[in-house]
Amino acid sequence: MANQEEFIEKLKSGNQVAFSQLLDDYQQKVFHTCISFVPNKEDAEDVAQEVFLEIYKSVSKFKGDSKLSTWIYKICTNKCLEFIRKKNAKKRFAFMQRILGNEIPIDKTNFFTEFNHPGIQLENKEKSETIFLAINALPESQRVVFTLAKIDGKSYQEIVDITGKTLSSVESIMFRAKKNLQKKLEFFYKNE
Amino acid sequence: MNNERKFKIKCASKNIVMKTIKNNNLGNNNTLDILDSIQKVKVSPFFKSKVLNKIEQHKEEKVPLFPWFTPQLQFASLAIILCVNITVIYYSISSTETTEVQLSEFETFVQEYHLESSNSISIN
Repeated sequence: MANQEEFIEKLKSGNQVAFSQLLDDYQQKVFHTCISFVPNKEDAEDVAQEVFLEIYKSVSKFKGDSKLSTWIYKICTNKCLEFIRKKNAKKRFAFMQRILGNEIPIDKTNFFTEFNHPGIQLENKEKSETIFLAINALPESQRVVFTLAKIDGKSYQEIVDITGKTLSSVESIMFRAKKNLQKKLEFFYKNE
Repeated sequence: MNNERKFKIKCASKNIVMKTIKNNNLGNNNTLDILDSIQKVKVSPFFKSKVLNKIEQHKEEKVPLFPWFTPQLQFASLAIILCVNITVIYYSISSTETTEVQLSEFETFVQEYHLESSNSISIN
C-alpha cells in the first residue's frame, strides 16, 4: 500500500522511470480493454495510446479515492466510448453527405469500425461480427457492463468499481443486456 | 377422419415452430459462447515507444500563458468591452446635448430678467 502511494507520488512528480514502469504494467491490460470495446487492432492501439497520454496529463489530479488500476480502467472505458461516439457521428455525417449528393464511400455495415480482431478465429469471425454489431446497438450502460464482463473478463466487483454503480445495479444491467442481446440476435437471425 | 388428419398436421406444424424457436435460442447461446473463445491479443512491441513519443510531443507543445482564458471567455470579454464602450459613448454624447440645451435655457432666462452683468467699465 505504502509502495503504491510512493509510486503514485513519483508519477505525480513526473518521474519518467515510474511512468515507464506503469506502461510496462498496464499496456497489455489497457489494450485488452480497448480491443474489447473497439474490435480493430489499429484503432484499439490508438485509443490505448490516448489513454496513457490522458493518464500522464491528469495523474496530478488523481486523489487516491480508488485504486490506481480502477482509475486507469475508468479513463480507458471513457476514452473507448468517446471514440465510438465520434466514429458513429462521422458515419451519420457521411450518410447525410451521401443523401445530399456528395458521394463518400460508406461501409456496408453500420458498425463504427472495420472489424479486425486478431483474437477471433476465422470460423467464428462472422458470428462474432454479428455479436459486436448487436452489442453496439445496446444502450450505453448495458454495452459497458456487458463488454467489461463478457469480453474483457472483468469481475462484477471490478465493474462496480469502474462504473461507480452498485452490485445489484450491475447485475440487473447485465441481465437486461443479455435479454436485449438475445432479442436483437433473434431479430437478426429471423431477417437473415 | 378428416378432423384427425387436420389435428395431426396442426401438431406437426406446432412442433416445427417449437423446434425453430429452440434452434434460434440455441443459436444465440452458441453465438454468445463464442465470446469466451476470443483469444488474448498481444499489444504491438512498439507500443511503449509510441506512447513515450506522444508524451514527448505533448511536452513540446507550447503551454499557453493563461490556459483558463479560453476562446469562449475571450469572446465574452470582448463583447462586454464593446458594450461598455458603446454605452459610455452614447451617454457622453447625450450629456453634451443636455448641457447645450441647459445653457441656452439659462441664457434666455438671464436675458428675460435682465440679469446680465455689464462687462463694460466706463472710464470717466
